[in-house]
Amino acid sequence: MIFDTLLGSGADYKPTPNLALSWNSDATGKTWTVHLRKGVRWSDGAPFTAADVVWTFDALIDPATGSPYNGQYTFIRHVVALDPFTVRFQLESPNATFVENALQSRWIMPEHSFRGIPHAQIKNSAFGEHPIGTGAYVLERWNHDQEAVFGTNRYWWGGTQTVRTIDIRVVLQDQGRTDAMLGGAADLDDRIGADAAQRLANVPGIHVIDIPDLYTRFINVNLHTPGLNDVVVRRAMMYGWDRAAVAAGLRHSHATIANGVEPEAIRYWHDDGLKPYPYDPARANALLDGAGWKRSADGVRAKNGVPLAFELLIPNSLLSNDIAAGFSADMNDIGIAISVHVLDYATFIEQANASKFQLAYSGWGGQPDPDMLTLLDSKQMPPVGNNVGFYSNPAVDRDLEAGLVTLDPARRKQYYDDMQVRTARDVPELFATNEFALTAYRDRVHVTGPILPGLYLFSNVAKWRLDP
Amino acid sequence: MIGYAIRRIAGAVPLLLVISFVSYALMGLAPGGPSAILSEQSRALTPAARAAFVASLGLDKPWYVQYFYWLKELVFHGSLGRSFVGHRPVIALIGEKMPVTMELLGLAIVVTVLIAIPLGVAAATRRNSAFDVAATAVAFIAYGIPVFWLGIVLIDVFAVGLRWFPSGGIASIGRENDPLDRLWHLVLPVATLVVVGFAPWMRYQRAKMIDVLGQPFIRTARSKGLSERAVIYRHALRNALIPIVTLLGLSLPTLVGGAYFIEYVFSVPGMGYLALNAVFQRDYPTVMGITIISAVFVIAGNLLADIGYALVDPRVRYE
Repeated sequence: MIFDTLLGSGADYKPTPNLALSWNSDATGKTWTVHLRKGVRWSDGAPFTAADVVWTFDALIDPATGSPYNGQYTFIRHVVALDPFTVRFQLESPNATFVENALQSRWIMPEHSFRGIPHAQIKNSAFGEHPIGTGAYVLERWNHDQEAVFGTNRYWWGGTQTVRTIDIRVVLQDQGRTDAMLGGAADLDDRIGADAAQRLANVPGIHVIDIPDLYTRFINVNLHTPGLNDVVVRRAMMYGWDRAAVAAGLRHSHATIANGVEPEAIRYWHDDGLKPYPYDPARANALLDGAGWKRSADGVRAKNGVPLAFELLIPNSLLSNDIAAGFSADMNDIGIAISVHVLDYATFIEQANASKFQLAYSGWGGQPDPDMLTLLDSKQMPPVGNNVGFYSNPAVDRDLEAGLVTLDPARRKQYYDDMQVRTARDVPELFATNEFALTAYRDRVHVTGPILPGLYLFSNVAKWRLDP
Repeated sequence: MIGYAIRRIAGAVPLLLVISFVSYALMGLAPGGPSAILSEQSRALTPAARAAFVASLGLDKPWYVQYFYWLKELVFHGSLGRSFVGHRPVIALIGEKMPVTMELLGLAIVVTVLIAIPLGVAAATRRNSAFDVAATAVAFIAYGIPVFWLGIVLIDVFAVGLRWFPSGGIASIGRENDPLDRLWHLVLPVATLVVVGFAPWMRYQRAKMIDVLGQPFIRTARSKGLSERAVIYRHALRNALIPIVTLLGLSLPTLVGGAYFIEYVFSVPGMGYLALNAVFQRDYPTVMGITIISAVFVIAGNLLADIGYALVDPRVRYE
């Protein structure tokens, strides 16, 4: 609301003009030229120019800044202003994620607010408390952890804001949020829980919308674990896991069963033709029997002295506890023993990142691009990338690597379709669910623009209509 | 007295050093680290990005080196550093949360005292009566209830079930400056704190009252023909309030340190809530800031209690 990205996101996350009006690459895909909108002003009245874009990306790619986003822009070699309204990005290699990843995702910051501040000091500067942006709104008041009040930016380039004031309240408890919606004190509650959705759904005057979320939930598999390195075992675990129960029990069916690694919400890239593993314990048992995993006296299967007994690592939360309990019971039915190990989140994430697990609760998402190189490519095992389960399939590597440098969407999609089919067969992770972001709002609010999850939903908030 | 206070304050400095060192060591040696702040799993968070983030916070060095930097910053710049989450000065975070905690716990202490003292006096004057036995039994049972459990039970009964009170937070949306609304939000957490906390106050009050009632000056007062009311409230109670001064002094640290479980269970955005979140996120500067400030108040509370003795009891003298 305060800041703008160079490009906006329309239906299906397609790029739309925003601070930039047009963008194109040369034949190599390594040089991108972006033409900026003229006449844009910062909320302090200063003009917006190419220098702001250059400064933003320079700071982002400089490791000294300490931005956690730094790692995803290492493919940008440098950014230069050709004139006050033209920026050239020089990339190390062609990169199909560039438009979504850089132009649609990163807020542009005012260069003039950071003059004389070294990159290492940016995070400690007072700018965060008194931000200056090109967006429709300015921050008027901010009581940390309580409320933030936004008023209109009189220099905004987008015309008149129909919504004049936005008051965001922090309510630490779900119950309090639901009460505020029921009592009429709040107009909108974003990302509510499934229980709250249940309560609000049938209340007159309140709408609850399901927005497909850019997120898949899964159980990560460490393929260096004896037993789990057998693909038959992993497929049997998929057949033996009642994922419809996960979706129904935890999300009151505001979730669908994942067919593979990509979230269903990235409409264009998701392979809809791929059938998810059905819940079929008989088939799971038959597969395991056929592969020589025999039940021993205690009911746990084993082969050559290797028992199918694994530890599942989860962070301590109600949701993960419930999923783990259901999963353990289902696995028990097919002769696989699961012991659940609950850790506090900080310890959990360190162990998971360090591959110190056999099975670990996990999730992936946040991006409308199908690139999953860091998660699944065999060259991305730690310490290089996030392939913490040590998955390796040369054909998948080829798909991921070619997909990253292929700019033509139709050709690019073939790589990711192939990748989705292969990973569904290999089961490098136990796919669980695709979920919906649930948002509730009162009927005086008329939401316009793309219905996308999270911040995307609010990208057009200035043009929403409000009944008095 | 002033000399005594100065000696005590000087003696506190090495104590604070030890406390801060041990706290830092405990954090440094605990499993897990602040990379949990970067919780999302996305392509952004390559191991290199995580390592760079950790290094930008100075966490690539051993914990004792980090401690040294932290101490240097405190001693030479009087700074408690910046939070890893949001990079705001720790002192500003504490400044925001402390008033909330003081409101909650101050109210709880006042209510506790108002309930425990009359109960203690009544139990002492009716020593070994059915009332005394019952009050003692209730006090001990209440004292034994885990605070988080009682909090959840009260939420379940009075907030979720009967819907008489809110289940948490300190204000309704749109009524942030309404004192009645705040009070309404504080009923359940204060009730929890009072139930679990009144026993020691009452027992101290009872014991001291019994002690005082056996003193010769009480017999004198009675023999002067004073009413029993005047004997108890004007003569005995005044003298029996001394242990309450101690307890008040010792309560000071909780007043600023926060009641962790209560604040967490009732989502009260106070010091306890801040501290617990900081621990969960391994936000070391915030944890250290709260630890040090709490330690200062523990020491100050003890000192004030000792000075308070001298003020209420002319027999106590410090040289």
